[in-house]
Amino acid sequence: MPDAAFPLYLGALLFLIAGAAAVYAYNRLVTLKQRGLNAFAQIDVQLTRRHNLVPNLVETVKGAMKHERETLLAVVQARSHAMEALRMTPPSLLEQERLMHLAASENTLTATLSGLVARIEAYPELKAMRNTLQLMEELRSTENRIAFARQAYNDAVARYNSQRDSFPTLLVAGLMGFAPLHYLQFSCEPAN
Amino acid sequence: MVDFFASQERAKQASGSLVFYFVLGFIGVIALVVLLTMLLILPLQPFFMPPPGKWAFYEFRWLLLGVGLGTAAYMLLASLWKMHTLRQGGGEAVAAMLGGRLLRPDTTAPLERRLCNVVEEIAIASQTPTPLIFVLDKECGINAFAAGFTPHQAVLGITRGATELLPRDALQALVAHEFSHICNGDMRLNLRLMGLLHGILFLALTGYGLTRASLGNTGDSEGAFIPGILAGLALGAIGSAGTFSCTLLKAAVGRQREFLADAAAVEFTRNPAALIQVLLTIGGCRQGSLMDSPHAPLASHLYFANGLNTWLARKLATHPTLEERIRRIDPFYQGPWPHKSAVEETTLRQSVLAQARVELAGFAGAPINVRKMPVAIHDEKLPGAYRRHALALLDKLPHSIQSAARSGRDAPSLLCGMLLARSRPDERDLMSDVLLEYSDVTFHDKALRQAEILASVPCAAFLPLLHLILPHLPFAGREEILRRVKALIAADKRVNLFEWMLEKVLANTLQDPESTPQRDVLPTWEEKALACAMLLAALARSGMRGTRDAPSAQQAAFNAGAGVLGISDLKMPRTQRVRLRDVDASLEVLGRLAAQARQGCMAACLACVRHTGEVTQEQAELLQGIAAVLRCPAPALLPGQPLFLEE
Repeated sequence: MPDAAFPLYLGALLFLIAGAAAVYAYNRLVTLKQRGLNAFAQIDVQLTRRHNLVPNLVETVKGAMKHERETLLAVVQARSHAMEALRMTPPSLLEQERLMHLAASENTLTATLSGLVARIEAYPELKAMRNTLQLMEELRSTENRIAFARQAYNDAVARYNSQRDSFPTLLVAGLMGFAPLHYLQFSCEPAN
Repeated sequence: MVDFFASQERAKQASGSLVFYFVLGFIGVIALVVLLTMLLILPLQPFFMPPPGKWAFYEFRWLLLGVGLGTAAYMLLASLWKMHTLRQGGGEAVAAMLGGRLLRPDTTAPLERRLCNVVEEIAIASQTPTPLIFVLDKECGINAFAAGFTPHQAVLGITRGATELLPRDALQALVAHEFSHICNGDMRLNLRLMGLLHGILFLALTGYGLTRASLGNTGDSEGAFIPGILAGLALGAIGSAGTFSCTLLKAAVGRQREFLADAAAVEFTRNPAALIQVLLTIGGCRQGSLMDSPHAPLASHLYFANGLNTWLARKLATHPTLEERIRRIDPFYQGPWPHKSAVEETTLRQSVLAQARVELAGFAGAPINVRKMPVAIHDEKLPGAYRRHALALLDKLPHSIQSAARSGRDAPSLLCGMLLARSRPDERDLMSDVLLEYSDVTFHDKALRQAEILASVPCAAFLPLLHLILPHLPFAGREEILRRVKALIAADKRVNLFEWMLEKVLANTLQDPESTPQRDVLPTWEEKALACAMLLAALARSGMRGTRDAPSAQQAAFNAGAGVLGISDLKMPRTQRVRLRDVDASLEVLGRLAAQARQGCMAACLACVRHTGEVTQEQAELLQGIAAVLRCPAPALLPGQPLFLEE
C-alpha cells in the first residue's frame, strides 16, 4: 500500500519545497527592489537640494561677479535642464535612457558649478564673505551627499541584480517580470 | 583598494566565533560548578550505589541537574539585571557623562556646520537615520564614540580635538567608523557581553561572600564551617577564572568589531586613505586618542581608538593597535607609520587650522580666527569689571592709535611702535636701526611715529591695546611680523617683561611652530610642582611691594595658588628677584602637560594674583605671557583692575 502512495507524497513534498522557495525568492526580490527605489529617492532628495542651493549661490555672488555673466548663465541653464531631467525620472520609470539623460544633465551642472567655484577663487573678498563660505560648504556637502546616495543606490542595484540573476530566483524573476535595475553614473566623463 | 566586503566578512566571522567561545565559557563555568558539586558529594557516593548499568552519580542526577540549572538561572538573572541597568542610560546619558554638548542641527559656526554636514553625508551613505551629535568640548585628543542600543536612538560623540584637527575627509572617515558601529549593532552586542560577564563575576563574588560567611567570627576557629569555606573558595576560583577568560574574549571580540567598523567605514566613504590619515594623526599627536574625562573608562569600548593608557588597558585593549588597523585597511601600505614625534601636535594643529582657514575663511587677508585668540574687549560675556577697566584704559589712547589697531595695514607697525615706546630711551636708536634693517622705510617711519604718540600713554593701556590689535593682524604677514618683532626684541640684548610677554603672546596667536617647546615627554610630578612653585612665587613677588608686611602677604598669595593646585605643602622658592629665565624654564616644563593640567596651573596663577588684592603691571604682563605659553585663554585681568567687584 505505501508503495502506491509514495510518489504522491514525494511529489507533494517537492511541490511544497519548490513553492516555499519561490515565495521566499519573490519576497527577497521585492525587498531588494524596494531598497533600490528607496535609495534612488534619496538621490532625488539630494539632487533637489543642490538645485535649490544654486539660486542662493548665484544671488550671493552675482553682485561681485559682474564680468562673469556667462559662467553664471551657464550654471542657471544647467540647473533648469537638470531639474527638468529629474522631473522626467520618477522612481517608477527608472529606464536606461532616462537615467543616462539625468546623469548627463547632472554632470553638466556639476561641471558648470565647479567652473563657477573656480571663478569665485579669483575674487578674494567675495570668497571671504561668510555667506559665500557657508554656501560653498553646503555645496561641497551636497556633492558628497549626492555621491554617497548614488553609491548606496548602485550598491542596492548590485545586490538586487545579483539576487535576480542567481538560481533559482532567476526563474521567479523571469515568471513575475522583475526587470533588472540600472546603475547610475555621475562622473566627470560624459555618460555614454 | 582592498575588498572591504571581504574584510567585513572576515571580521564578522572572527567575532562570531569569539562570541561562540564566550558563550562556551559561560556554559563551562556552569559545568565546573556541577563538577564541584560532584566532588563535594563524592564522600557520600558509596552510600548511594547506583543500580547496575547506570553511571556513578545516578542517584544524584536530580540534584546535579538542579545545581546546573540553578547556577545558570542565578548567573542569567545577574546578567539580565546588569543589562537592564546598563540599558537605563541610553546614548544621551553616556554623552552627558563624558561632558558632551548637543550640537544644534542649525548651527552656523563653520567647524560645527562642517561636522553636521559630514554626519548627514555618512547617514546617507550608510542608509541609517542621522543620530544626535554631541561635541566633547573638553577633550583635545582625537576620538569619537557611538552610543545607544538601536540605530534610531543612537548618539554620536566627537571630541573637540577631532573636529579641529582633522581635515574634512578624515573627519568623514572617523564619523563613518562610528556609524558602522551603529549599523552593525556593536553597542547591543557589547551590552550583552557585559551582562554575561557580570553574571560570571557575580558567581565569583557569591563564592567569596560564602567564604567570608563561613569563616564565622574573626579569630574564632570554632565557628568556622570548613566545607563552606572550601566550597566558597572553589566557587570564587571558578568565577574568577571564568571572568578573566571571558574578559579577554570580550576584548578580542571588541578588537574584531573595530576591524569590522574600519572596513565598513571604507565601504561608506570609499576612501581608505582618509581613514589611514585619521589613524596616523592619532599616532602622531601627543594627546593621541586619550580622553581626559574622569568617566572615560566607563565607555572605553565605544571609542574610535583606545581612550585609556594604563597597563591593564593595554593588556585588555578594546582596540587593535594603529599599525594593525592600517595594515588591515591597506595591506600594501608602505608608510609613514604612526610615530609620536613624526607629527608635532602644534604643527599639525597649525596646518589643519591653516587649511580650515583656506577652506572656510578663504584667503590670506582674512583676520586670524584662532580659538586661543586673546579675548576681544567688547565681548559681552566677559566679566564687567574687566570690560569697564579695559575700556577706561583704551579711552586714554589717542584716536589715531585706536583706529590703527583696528586696521590690518597699520596694526603690524603698531606692534613695533609699542616695543619702541616701552624700551629705554638709550636703546631706541639701536632698535630703530635694527627695524630699518628688517623692514622698509615706510614701515619704519610709521612705527617711529606711532612710538612717539605711545610714549605719552600710560603703561597700563598697552595690554588692552595689544588685545585690540591681535584680531586684526593679517594672517598672510604673520611670518614677517614675527621676524620683525623678534629682531626688535633681540636688538638690545636685554629682554624686558613687556618684550617677553609680547613675544609669547604673538608666538601663540600666530601659531609659530618653532617657538613651541618639544613636547614628547610628560613632566614628572616633582618637575611640575617645582615649576608651579616658581611661577607662583614670581607672581606673588611681583605684587604688594614696598609694604612692611609684604613677605607674609606674598607667602599668603603663594599659598592661595598652591591650594588651587591641591598641593598644600608646596615650598616657596627663596630667591627674591624674579628672573624671566627661571619663568621660561618653568613654562617649558608646564607647556608639556596635557590641556586640563595646563588649565589647572593657569587657575592657580590667577588665584595667586587675585589674592594679592591688586593687579600690578608686572603681574598682568606675566599672566598674559604664562597664558600664552600654556595655551590657555588670556586672563581677563589688567593692571590696576579692581578685584573686589563681582566675578
